[in-house]
Amino acid sequence: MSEDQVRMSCRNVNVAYSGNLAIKNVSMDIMSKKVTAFIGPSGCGKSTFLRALNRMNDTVDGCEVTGEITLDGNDIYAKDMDTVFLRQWVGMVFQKPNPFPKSIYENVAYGPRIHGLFRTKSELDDIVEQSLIGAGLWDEVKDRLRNPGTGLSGGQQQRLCIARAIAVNPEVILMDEPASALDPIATRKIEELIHKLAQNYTIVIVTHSMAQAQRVADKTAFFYAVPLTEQDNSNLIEFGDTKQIFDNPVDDRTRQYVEGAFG
Amino acid sequence: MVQIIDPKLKDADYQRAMTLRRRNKGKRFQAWGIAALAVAGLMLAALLYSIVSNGVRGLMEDRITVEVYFDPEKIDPRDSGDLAVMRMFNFDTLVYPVLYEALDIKARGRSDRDKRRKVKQLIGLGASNQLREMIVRQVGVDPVTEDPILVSGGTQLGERVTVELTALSTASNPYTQTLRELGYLNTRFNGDFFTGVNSNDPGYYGILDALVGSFWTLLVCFLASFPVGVLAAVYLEEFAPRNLITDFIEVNINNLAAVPSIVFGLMGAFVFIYVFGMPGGTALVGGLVLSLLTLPTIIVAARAAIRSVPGSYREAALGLGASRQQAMWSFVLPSAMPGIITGTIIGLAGALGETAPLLFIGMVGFQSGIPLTPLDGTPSLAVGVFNAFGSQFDELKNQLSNSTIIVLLVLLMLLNGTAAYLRYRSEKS
Ligand SMILES: Nc1ncnc2c1ncn2[C@@H]1O[C@H](COP(=O)(O)OP(=O)(O)O)[C@@H](O)[C@H]1O
Ligand SMILES: [Mg+2]
Repeated sequence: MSEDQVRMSCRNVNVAYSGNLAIKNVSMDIMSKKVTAFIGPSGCGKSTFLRALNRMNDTVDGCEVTGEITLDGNDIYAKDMDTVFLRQWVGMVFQKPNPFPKSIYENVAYGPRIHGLFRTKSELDDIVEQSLIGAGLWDEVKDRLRNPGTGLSGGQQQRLCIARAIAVNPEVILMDEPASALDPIATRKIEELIHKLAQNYTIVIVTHSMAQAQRVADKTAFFYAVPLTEQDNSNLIEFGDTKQIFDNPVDDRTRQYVEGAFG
Repeated sequence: MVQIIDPKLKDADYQRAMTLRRRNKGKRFQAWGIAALAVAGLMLAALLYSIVSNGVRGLMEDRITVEVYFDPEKIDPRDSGDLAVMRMFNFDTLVYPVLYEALDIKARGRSDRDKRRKVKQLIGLGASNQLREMIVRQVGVDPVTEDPILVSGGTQLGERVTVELTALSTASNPYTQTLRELGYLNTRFNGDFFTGVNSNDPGYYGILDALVGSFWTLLVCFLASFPVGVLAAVYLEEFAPRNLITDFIEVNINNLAAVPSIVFGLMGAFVFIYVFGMPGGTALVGGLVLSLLTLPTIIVAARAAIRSVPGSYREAALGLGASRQQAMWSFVLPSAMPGIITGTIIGLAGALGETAPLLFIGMVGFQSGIPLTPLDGTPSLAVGVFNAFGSQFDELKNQLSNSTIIVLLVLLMLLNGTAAYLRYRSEKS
């Protein structure tokens, strides 16, 4: 696999809630095994766009997506695209840690179960162990896999959710402000984990922390809210290498935002 | 300039008077409130007192202990040895002479006729049956001749046996005290009440058939209403499109809860018994009729419980590729279960106390013993309150009716207590 292969490609994507545009005319390429960060003021549509990438918006009444989004060249909004498989390939980690009210083991095993990814109990044990190791949680929980996942600390819960996401062997992992509910130490661990995961997975992360974007992301996309000024035809204002976005932004609004002029 | 403020308001005396008036008004209002509460409390206390005082007496019974001589001369005067003949004898007449003698009452003649009648009032039909069964019992009916099949009850004619018989109407009988002092009459716990079945003789009345009947009825009710109610709630909450039809259904579920229960009785009698030909007076029909009452309760409770499940479970499951059904069955429904079960228990408690619709479908007056299946005719506990009382006022029947109410109330409290406990526990976690 070449270094800069495109994993997901978005062309002229619009997302509307009951007719109100939240994402307007966004085009970008998400590179394989890179971390892409979405930044921008709240309400500018970062989560909306992220959720369009694995069709989580399908569950929202009145939400409509137009344009083209492909995963490895396949149109994910095609009629014959099965969201069950799509969401196996493109997993998601949410802002608030949301482990199931079940044991740690069952939290991780749920995805492999519904997708039938194992034949024997020991294969499943293996998947659970590998996923927890991958999420950097194994050492902390290996002696209490039968304890409820909700009994862990916030940071551990979020890593459990990451383990749960990688247990179905996805290609892309979407993370919507995964550390915003966590303390600085837990945040640090999540960031280190994202670094490590990027060796095997393509990661898209929404964050409102400039520092975090700079620490974890290879690419950064700056969004700005609809309505836009006359000359804008998209609310993706700027997209490029993280270093360029922060050190040398092209657009004034990007510069103001990364300098902390508005939030 | 116009004087806006009334000069009176500046007057200290006037202010004091107004304050006093306001305070008095407040006190009067409080007094009315307390009075209203007191009246309500008093009525509740009177009701409970009446139930408990009567009911507790129904749980005790007076027993007469006598030595009975099974006189062959009287029971089988021609020495035929025929059980059918012996069966025709009025066995209670064996008891009276013993009591007359103890009470110094002449067994013959006009003078003591009234006294003899009083003594006879103590012994009922049930006592007569109890003695008869000692000599001859019916075990079935010959299928061809339709004659009763009789066997010996184990006691032989000519034996003298000490028996305990239930005494009736002892509270108003003039001989109760004397018999008690002479050792013929004593009071003890009324075991028959819990082990016996519906009977015309209040001395032998019991609620076991009604208890079992209520169990079957609630079981049928639960099996019919729980799955339907939960599925309806799941569909309405998670899958139904928002449109006029679902709105219409929703309104009518709430209407269903407001329909008087007797209407369901009438409908049940017609639909289940007349149209579908199900056996009347059975727990099957009773449970089905009551399920119409519990259904709206369960649907409403289940919908509320499903709605209160955090959306994050659903979202997480969907994010992993689960379908909406999978998310429903694996997380939403299990998390909603405590709330659903609480609502179901409350619905079933309501069904347990329901009487009117069951009278309609013929659950009243059954005396066929303990129902072995939901297809046997049976009373329910609430109907049992009615059965125990019978058609005219009787001291003992009234007591038994109240005793049945006590059992019913205890069961209701247990059910509602369980529901409250479950709710408390799920609120805490
Ligand atoms: N489920 C929804 N229904 C209707 N409007 C929504 C919904 N979710 C988000 N929006 C709207 O879409 C816009 C973008 O929201 P969002 O994507 O959550 O922004 P961000 O994640 O950047 O803070 C906002 O104006 C928000 O009000
Ligand atoms: Mg957001």
